Order: sequence, then structure tokens, then C-alpha cells
Amino acid sequence: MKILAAVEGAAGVLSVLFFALLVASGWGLMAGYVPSAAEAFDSLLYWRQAGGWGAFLRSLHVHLASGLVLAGFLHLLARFLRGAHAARPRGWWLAASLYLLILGLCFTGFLLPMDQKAYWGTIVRLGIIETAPLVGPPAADLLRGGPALNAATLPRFYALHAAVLPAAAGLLLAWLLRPVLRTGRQRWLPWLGFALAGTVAAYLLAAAVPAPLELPADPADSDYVARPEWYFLWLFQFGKYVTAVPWVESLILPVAGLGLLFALPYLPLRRRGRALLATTWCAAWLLLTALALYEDRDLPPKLDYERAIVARAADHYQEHCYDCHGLNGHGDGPQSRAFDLEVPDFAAAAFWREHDRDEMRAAIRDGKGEDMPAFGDKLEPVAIDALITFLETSFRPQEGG
Amino acid sequence: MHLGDRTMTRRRFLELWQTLLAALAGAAALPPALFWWRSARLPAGPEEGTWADLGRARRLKEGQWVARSFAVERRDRWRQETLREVVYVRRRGEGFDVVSSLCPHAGCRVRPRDDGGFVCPCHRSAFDGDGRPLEGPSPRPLDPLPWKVEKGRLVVRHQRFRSGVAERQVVEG
Repeated sequence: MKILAAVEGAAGVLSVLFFALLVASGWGLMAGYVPSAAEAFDSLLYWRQAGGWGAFLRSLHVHLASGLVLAGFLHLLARFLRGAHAARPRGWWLAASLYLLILGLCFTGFLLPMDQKAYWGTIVRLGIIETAPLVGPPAADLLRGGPALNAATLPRFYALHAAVLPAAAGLLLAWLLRPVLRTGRQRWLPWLGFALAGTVAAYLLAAAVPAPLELPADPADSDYVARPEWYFLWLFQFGKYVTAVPWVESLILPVAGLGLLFALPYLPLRRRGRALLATTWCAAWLLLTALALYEDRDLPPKLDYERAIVARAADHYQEHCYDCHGLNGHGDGPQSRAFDLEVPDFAAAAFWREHDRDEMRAAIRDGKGEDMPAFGDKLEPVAIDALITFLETSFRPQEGG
Repeated sequence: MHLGDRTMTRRRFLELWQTLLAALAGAAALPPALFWWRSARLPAGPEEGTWADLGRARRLKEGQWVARSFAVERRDRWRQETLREVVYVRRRGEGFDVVSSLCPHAGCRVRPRDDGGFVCPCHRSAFDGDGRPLEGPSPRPLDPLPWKVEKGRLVVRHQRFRSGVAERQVVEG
């Protein structure tokens, strides 16, 4: 029992601290983020590549969110195992509602970077919501601000993530903490040191491990495989077993789960019963999560922007350039040899002296001379830039070498 | 302080204030709530009848699905943008089959399989060579798109459909 009280206290204090730090780092991020489909990704990429506090704040925000999902869960679990949920039902309902708001904050925050993961992940989540009969489509429309993802969707998610949900969570938190603060019971004081240690750990983690940012959202991409965050993998895996009736995942399970969560104080569970229920839930969670990870073991890893852009440029070279420019950029591809085309040699130092980036950009976009076709309708400007970087890093000879 | 016969106690005074504040908060929340609700009912995407050119009709392979991408100009609320889209096309004699590449389950893009069918990488919905669902959670077949041949070129209508529902419902185009 003592250890459970310790976990409840430590996880509770840690959750409150993480929430406060998330609010603070969120305020920082708001000063450098533009909630527009056209600029959201670019604004985050700018701070990421500039390094410094902007990049650090985003990493901190992302890691703290994962930490809060975990700490909040541990707090609820310990509360339940101790039987505190039945002794003080109102506190349980408040804490459970607060946890749901936190999951809502994760859901809405997930879209904000507008990278591939955010875009396709949100498409899938809204699609799953839509499978719920009757309530699904209107709920998805309300979240999205229309029958399909549109320019107003990101501002909506941003408003929910940065104003509506934090305000609601703050009110609930104040309500939840009222008895603690009013009675002046300071049972939480011993855990303050623990919480400080957790905070330091979060800061160190944020400094060491940058938050992931993938390629910018590409609605035409047919290769991206969307996967949920780690804490929703279990639901994703569960969905695979009820494919005949998809709304078991989107409606029955959430309603039953929420019903059970809020009815827990009324269930006549003794200590053994509570332990059994909690163990079953944790075991099911672990099993489903492990199965989901195992079944995805052959999935290509999700690359960060910097690595993905180079990998994609290599693919584009293979697809569009290789035929004429050749394997090593000498201009000796099968097509140019067969038809005696005029193709420059990327491996010659003279080429890089005579052509600057703007010239190459224009040549790729609009074509050049008799033989170089235009690729402006096949490659986005970002992809053209990446392609030039790829050519430069792969073929340009070292100066003075 | 007296109001009629009833004495205004401190408790009653505070209760009145609380009710008034709650009513004010409700009144303040109404216009934003209405905006959220009403603006979600605006239609999305380009106006009806946006057609895209898929190239020379004769050059498409007989009886084999190929991916074709195209770009449509669209007005997305306040934003003018070029949307790139991918569809699968198959020639059948003089006619064509054109299907959207978006999975009717949750909106990921399906991929062609070696056996001529399709599979969605997200939740493993599988479809046969005619787009009918074989297994997985997809509630309906792949969505066919209207097409026509103009001056020897195949053009398709850009459309998107609501995912997750059994009945096909156009949400864009």
C-alpha cells in the first residue's frame, strides 16, 4: 500500500509539473509557429535548422507530452489500486476527465507540425472517427471544419490545442487540487524532489534527443504508411481483429471504456478484484502494443526531414535523371549514349564553376536547350532544391583535390 | 436589505451573482460555438465539375491498372492552391475504369497488388481487380470516378468521398 501511495503522489506531482511545463513551452512555441497549412511546417523547420531555444522547446514539448501520458496513467492506476477512486469518487472523475483532456491535447497537437506523420495520421484518425455510425461523420466534420480536410482545419486544431483544451484542463486541475491546497495537507511535499528530478530528466532528454520532424505533408504521396503514437498502438492493433465491424473500434470500445472508467467507483471491487482488473488491462495493453510493433517490423523506418530529403532526391535522380545523366553523373546514361544527347558532366569541377544554383534550378524546372526536358510539373520546388543538393554532395569533386 | 418579503441574505446574494455570471459565460460562449458549428457545414474543395487530363487514351495499357497523377486548381476556403491527386486507370477496349486511390475506410492511399487487386497499407483492406472489398475494414468498394474521352485524351472528374461510411458520398468536386 505504501508503494502505491508513493506512486500516486509522485506520478501526480510529476503530472502537474509536466502540465505546467507544457503550457510554458507551448507559450514559447506559439511565438515561432504559424498555424497555416502553407507555413506551419516551414516555421517549425526554420527553428529546427536554426538550432537553439526554438528547437529545444519543441523537443521539450514533444517529450513532456509523452511523459504526461505515462505519468497521468500511472497516477490513475495507483489511485485505483489503492481504492482511492471509490473513497473519493469526485476526485476520480475529475482526474479521469483531466486525462481525457490530455489525450485530446495529444490528438490536436499531433496535426500541428503538418509533416507526413501529422497529415496522414490525422487523416486516418478522422477516418476512424467517421466509421462510428450516425455520430461519427458530424463529429469529424466539426473537428475538421468541413466534410474534408481544408484550410480551416489546422486553425481549428490549433485553437483547440493552444486555447480551448488547456483552459478546460487548467480549470479541472484547479478544481482537482482545491482540497489539497485548501486543507494544506502537504503529503505531496516529499515527492517534490522526485518531480524536480523528473523535470531535469525531461530537459536533458530534450537537449539530447530532438523531436522528430518528417517530410512536409504530401497529400499525393502513395507510399506513406501512417501509424499512431505509441500510446494508441494497442487500439490500432485491436482494430485489426474487428475489421468486419470497424465501429467496434471507433464507437463500442470507446463508449464501453469510458463507461467503465467513470463507473469504477460504483463497482464493488475488493483489493484482489482491483489488482486483477488492472493487471488484465496492463497485460492486454502490453500484448497489443508488442504485437503491433512486431507486425510492423518490416516497415521502412520513418526518416527525419534531413535524411528523408536526401533519400527522396536519390529516388528522383534514379527515376528522372539517370537515363541521360548516368550512374555517376558523367552524362553517360543509356539514353544519352543511344541518341548522342548533349549532357553535362556533373563530376567535372568546371560544371560547378560555370553554373550556380539558380541556373540549375531553372534548368530542372523549365528545361534547357534541345535535350533537357522540364520537370516543373513533376517535382516540387523543395524537391528540386534537394535534388541539386544531392547532385552536389554525390558528384561535385572536392576543390583543390 | 429587503426584496418584497424576502430578506436578501449573504448566501442568497452570492447565489444570484453565481447564476448571473454563469448566464453571462454562456452568452459569451454562444457566438464562437455557433461559428464552430456553422462554418463546419460549408462545402469543401473545388466547385463541381473540375476535370483533369490523364493523357492520350490510346496509350493506356489494356486490362492493367496504372497510377496516374494530375493537378487540380482549387479554392480551399481562402486559399488558392494546386492539389495533386493520384488515381488508378485501366483501359477496357473502348472504355475505361478509373478509381480513386484513397481507401474508403480511413483515407490512406491504396497500392496495386501483383494479382491485379489493391491493398491499403494502413489497415490491410484488400480489394479485387474490380475494386470490390475482399477483406479488411473497408465499408465499400474503391470509389469509381466519372471519365470521358475528349479529342483522344482521357479526362476524369476530380472527386473525393467521405471515408468510413458504406454509402458513397461526395465531399469534394
